[in-house]
Amino acid sequence: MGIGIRAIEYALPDVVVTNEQLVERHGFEHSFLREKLGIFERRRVSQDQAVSHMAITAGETLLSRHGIATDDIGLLVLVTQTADYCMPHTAALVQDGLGLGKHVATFDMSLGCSGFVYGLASATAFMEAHGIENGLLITAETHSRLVDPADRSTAPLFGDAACATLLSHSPVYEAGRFCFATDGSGHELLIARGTGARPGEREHLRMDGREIFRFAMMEVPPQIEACLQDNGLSKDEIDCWVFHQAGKFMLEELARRCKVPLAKVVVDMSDVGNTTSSTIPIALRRRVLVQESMPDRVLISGFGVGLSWATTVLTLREDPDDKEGESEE
Amino acid sequence: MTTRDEIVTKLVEIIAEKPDLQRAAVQLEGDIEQARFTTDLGFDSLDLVGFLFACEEVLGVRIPEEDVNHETHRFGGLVDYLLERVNR
Repeated sequence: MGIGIRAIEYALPDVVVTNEQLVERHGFEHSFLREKLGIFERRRVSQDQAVSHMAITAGETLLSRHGIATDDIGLLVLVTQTADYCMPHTAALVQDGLGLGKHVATFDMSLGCSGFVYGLASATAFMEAHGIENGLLITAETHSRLVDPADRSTAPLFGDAACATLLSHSPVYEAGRFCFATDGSGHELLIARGTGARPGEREHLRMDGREIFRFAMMEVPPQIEACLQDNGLSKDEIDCWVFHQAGKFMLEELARRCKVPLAKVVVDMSDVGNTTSSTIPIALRRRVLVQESMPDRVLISGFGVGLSWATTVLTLREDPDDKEGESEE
Repeated sequence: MTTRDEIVTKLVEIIAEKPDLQRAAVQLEGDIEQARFTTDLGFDSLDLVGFLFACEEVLGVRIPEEDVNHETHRFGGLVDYLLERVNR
């Protein structure tokens, strides 16, 4: 058995921004927020919190709930575009905060909505190449620091969150072949200029919603087709589709374009919003890993800032405890 | 050469086929030349994004953001704009 996803846990900051608050403060429409974005509330960090704090909380939750000793972790990859500082890399702060050993390899990956898929590919390949038994892939963003509170296209959409994924040689889900893509000519379509994510360090994030929509509709479905082909699978063999949770409207349009039944498409963002790199793992944690009978094959596809997009198929593996018993015979 | 009527028919079909736009589709039987997508047909900003994308695909033209203005927010204005673009 290869390296894959063993467990996932997430952390949300305490501050809640409800639709009612947005309607009252900025004149957003209730029905639009609820029915088109599919969001009722989102979270944001308080003034004294940074991305490392959420990442540490998510990591601590994962290690404690699943009985993993800090010494057993050999790799920590942090996917973020709202790093605490320009330098050092935030993964170093998270390594320290989690109390991981000095033997741990750590690095940041600067990717947004495609970050979990890229991170999964990078972290598992790194572990395989260097004989690492257990690794942490953490996605974490504090987009509330970048968003203009009155901007109608971004303020109601984005939420802060962190999500920690345990990667091991006894996975519950293992990824197949990946497809990756980049189109830097669209880098200004979703952009936050400036450096450093601490308060006052950056300009507001700007998004060209129409162009981002066009990009998703034009580029994601062909990549999914290619990824299915690379994995020798048909659409009918995918039991569950977990797209980046870009908004309910976008997900429904994408599902139609991919000719996927909406019943197989996970929509799971009503209480957290679009948490960028964390949307896919949070949805996996809340809608896939909790199922009594987990789906055999789950397609995950992340797309957004960069422009960057990536897709793979997760396959359910046997319960590792049962497998160990069998291998002794 | 695409005619104006052909473009009107295609736009009406797009609206009729989109589940989110059923409220607008009901009004298509009347005179909608002067109808504005947002105030009269009930489009929200995402409806308009999806609708314009569908128009682009069906008619094979690109509608740049700078051309999305007061005039093209009106059904008849968009038809005129698309007619000119398609036959350019």
